Amino acid sequence: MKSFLLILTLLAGLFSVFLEGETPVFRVKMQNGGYFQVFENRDSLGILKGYWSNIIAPVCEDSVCYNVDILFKWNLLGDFVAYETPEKSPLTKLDHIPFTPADNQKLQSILTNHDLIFTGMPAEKLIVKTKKEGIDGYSGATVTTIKEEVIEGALYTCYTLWHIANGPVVDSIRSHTKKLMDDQMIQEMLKMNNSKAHYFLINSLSETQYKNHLPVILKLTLEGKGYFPKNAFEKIPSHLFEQQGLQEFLIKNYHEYSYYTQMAILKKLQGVRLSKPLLLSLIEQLDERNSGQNQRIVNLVIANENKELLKVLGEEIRLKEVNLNSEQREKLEGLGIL
Amino acid sequence: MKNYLSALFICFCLSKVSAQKKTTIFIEAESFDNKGGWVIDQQFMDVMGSSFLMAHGMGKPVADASTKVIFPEAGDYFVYVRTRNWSAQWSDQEAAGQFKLLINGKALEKTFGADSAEWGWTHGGKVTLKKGEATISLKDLTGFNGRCDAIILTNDPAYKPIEDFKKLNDFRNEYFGFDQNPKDAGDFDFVVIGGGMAGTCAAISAARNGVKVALIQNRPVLGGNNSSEVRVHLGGRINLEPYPNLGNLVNEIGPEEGGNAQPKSYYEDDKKLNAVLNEPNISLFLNHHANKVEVNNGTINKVYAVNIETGEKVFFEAPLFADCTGDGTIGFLAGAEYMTGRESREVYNEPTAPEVADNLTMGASVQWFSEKAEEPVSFPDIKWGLPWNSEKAEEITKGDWEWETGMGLDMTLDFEQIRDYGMLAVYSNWSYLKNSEATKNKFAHENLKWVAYVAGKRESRRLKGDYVLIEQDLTEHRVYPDGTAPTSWTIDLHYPDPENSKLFPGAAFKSIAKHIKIYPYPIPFRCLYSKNINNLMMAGRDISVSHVALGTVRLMRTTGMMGEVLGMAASICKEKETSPRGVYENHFASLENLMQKGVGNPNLPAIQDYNLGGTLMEGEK
Ligand SMILES: Cc1cc2nc3c(=O)[nH]c(=O)nc-3n(C[C@H](O)[C@H](O)[C@H](O)COP(=O)(O)OP(=O)(O)OC[C@H]3O[C@@H](n4cnc5c(N)ncnc54)[C@H](O)[C@@H]3O)c2cc1C
Repeated sequence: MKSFLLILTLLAGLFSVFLEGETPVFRVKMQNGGYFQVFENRDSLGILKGYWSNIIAPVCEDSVCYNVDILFKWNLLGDFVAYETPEKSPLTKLDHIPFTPADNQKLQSILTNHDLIFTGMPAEKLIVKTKKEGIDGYSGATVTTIKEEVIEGALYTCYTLWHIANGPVVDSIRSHTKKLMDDQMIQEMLKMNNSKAHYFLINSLSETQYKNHLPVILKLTLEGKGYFPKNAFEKIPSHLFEQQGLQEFLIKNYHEYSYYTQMAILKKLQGVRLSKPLLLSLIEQLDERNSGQNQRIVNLVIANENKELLKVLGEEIRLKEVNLNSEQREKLEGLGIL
Repeated sequence: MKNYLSALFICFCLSKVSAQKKTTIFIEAESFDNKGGWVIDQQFMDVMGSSFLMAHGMGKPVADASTKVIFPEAGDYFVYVRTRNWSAQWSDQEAAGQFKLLINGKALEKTFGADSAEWGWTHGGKVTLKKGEATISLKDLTGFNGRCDAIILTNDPAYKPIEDFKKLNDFRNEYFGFDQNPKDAGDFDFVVIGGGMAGTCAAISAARNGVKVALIQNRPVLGGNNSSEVRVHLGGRINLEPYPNLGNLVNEIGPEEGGNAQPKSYYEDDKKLNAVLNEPNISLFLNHHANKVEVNNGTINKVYAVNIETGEKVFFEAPLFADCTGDGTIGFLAGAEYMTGRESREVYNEPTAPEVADNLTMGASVQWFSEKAEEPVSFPDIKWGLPWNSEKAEEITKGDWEWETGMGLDMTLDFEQIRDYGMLAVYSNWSYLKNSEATKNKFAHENLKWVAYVAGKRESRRLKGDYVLIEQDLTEHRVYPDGTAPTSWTIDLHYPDPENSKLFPGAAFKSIAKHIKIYPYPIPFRCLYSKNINNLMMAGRDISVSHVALGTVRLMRTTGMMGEVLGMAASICKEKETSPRGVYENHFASLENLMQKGVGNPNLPAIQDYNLGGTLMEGEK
């Protein structure tokens, strides 16, 4: 409990070194009122590449305290990237033993890892109190389940720094990046070439940006893993589906997508005037099973009210023995198609 | 009451045919009027014949169980008790679970539970009884799981109790008249067997979709591994693509707090029970163990269940059944195709499968914990435990999931041995911590508060469906159009702990887990119904998956969502008068619609933020 309180008080004491000539873009407030300042990191052309902050945080290991002086860097998405410490004040472990290169490597991997058990634990649960033989007092021993995860003798350094690197700063960075989303930034995101960046993109683009960058977004959907393509199509503004280019893209690529992406596309196509070739290619996708996809395709063909296409639809249904539900069957019979 | 009436019944029968008025009275221990501190254990009844009473005192003798019996004749009666010495398979020392039989408060000289290692009749000597009512009691002597299945009192010196358990069961059934007169449970559209998360969600989902359901559960509580009897917390994620409303019911009925082997209240048994009781469409049959199936042409007509306390039989007729027993018991009894153990690599080309198939399954767990007491607490220095020493000692106060054993044994046929070995390891370690010079001071105030006697299972039979889900489907994200509940936990497979195996060769009781991360993956509907039994669906850990794929789908938020899907499918089967395969082939769009809508309350906050697991998520949503 003692060490927990200590940590809280010390976190409150966090502050960031103010650097002359640079203006912080925001400050990150910590639970107890302490804060640190975050700066943009731009390259020589002025292109935003990420963020940094110089942080001084007091940390205590088993009642031995010192000031951690550390520079943190994040990317545009708020992912922690790397840290640096001044040569003169390296990170230290219990009893002021400086970090070895291996310790630094381990800390780097800890700060970028989101699957650790100890980071999800309340500070007071990190140690178990053990009674020292012959001494009337308790000392803390790291809980066994997390021993492997942390640097021996630097438990609270790891814990405190992880929470700074991956705490509220992440959301602040993301909203700042989102505000600055422009063509240049879009290019940067595309370059990052990971699904997180791509999700960030599809969740941040304006309607106009979608319109202007549609070809790259569509390319991403072809490459994207998991549910990215589905989510991307769901985000593309509905009116863009009227575009001939997009409809042609679908003719060429619809069959490449997973069932759930196809379902999302079909949902977007509702109420959209569709070209004849697109409808024809969709009719080809019908299969004998009764599925949500069949239903949506049949409904789209009916809604587009083209006699010729309805005839093709009828033939395809007969040929493939497509399994319709009763409402669709009635409707098509009513239209004289079946 | 039951045994009292039945006792009379047999006496009259026998007295009709015999001039010497031979009277044999058969008493089922689990039917005792007053169970005292003894618990009913039904886990092995398919193997040893019956549920029984067990003194699960965790080292402290439990309160006596007692019942009243009427003796129609005065005279000398021979006493037989069906019991076993469960610790004898590991130790030739004094038996762990010993007890006395008291008649009208007076103990027989014989001590029970101390002889045969196998279930069998122990001769308890002779007693002289008056005509009329007598009280029979069980007095626990050790607090270490003594067990009593049944008692026979006979005035026929030539009487030999039946040892063969099948013949004995015939005898019991005839004696109590159960087989002649099984009760009709009523009219149902859908019968769900097994009341874990899978079965409970299946029943509620079906009921809310207008289906008349019977839910059969062989324990007094719902929840299965997530009940306070086993104490495993829910894991995995809900509300995921491609059906974000699946999981609303899991969110509605699941416990708010996480943690394995925690105090009873964590598991909120009543929340699950009330959710079921609130559904007018569900008839709940707690304490009923399904153990017989009638099949005609690949279609189940009836499932029979026996009341684990009274022994009465009930049958359930319906057009549709769901096997949510975890063990695939209903499918097995119906002749469904099934798989067990590990498939060899060549079967499905799975990278994680072994070269050669074997019978290794994931194990079962007896979890436990202790609590600090104000005063020092003692614990018996047991002689029948496993040989222990400082190297073997686990200086801890909680046995979590990794206290896992029985890999390589049969999770149905050998389960009593597996459960008992799990308990033996717990007691052996605890007795060492409490009594050895090295540790006893440190653990002086620790009080062994809870040890599971219902062991948590992870894997037994997997019933074969129209599709068998495999590793590459998950790792390469090959999604199929008939996807349903998304599985999101890692492929989490367990193996005997190498360190523990060194200390306990061939009999490890601890495990390690190996994980492969996956993206949320919708389980194909074709994995949720039997390939060859037309009207059988399944949800839970007994669905159609390879051993490797089981590693992820077995999580209880996932099995709960499978249950949600089964309930929806049942409503379509009812409405369209079709089979589960018919839903897949002809009405799948209706199921998609129901899955999009979900069945649980969508407006509840997502409170279960524990144990979500290391899923590959694709970034911000
Ligand atoms: C120690 C341990 C730790 C685990 N950790 C986790 C975890 O952290 N999170 C997680 O989500 N999962 C975990 N699992 C896995 C999960 O608990 C299982 O996969 C679970 O079995 C899945 O739920 P289910 O509904 O299929 O089966 P169960 O929970 O096993 O429920 C089946 C129910 O059916 C009843 N039954 C069986 N046969 C019959 C019959 N013939 N008649 C009537 N009733 C019957 C049983 O008594 C039981 O109550 C763990 C398992 C164990 C053992």
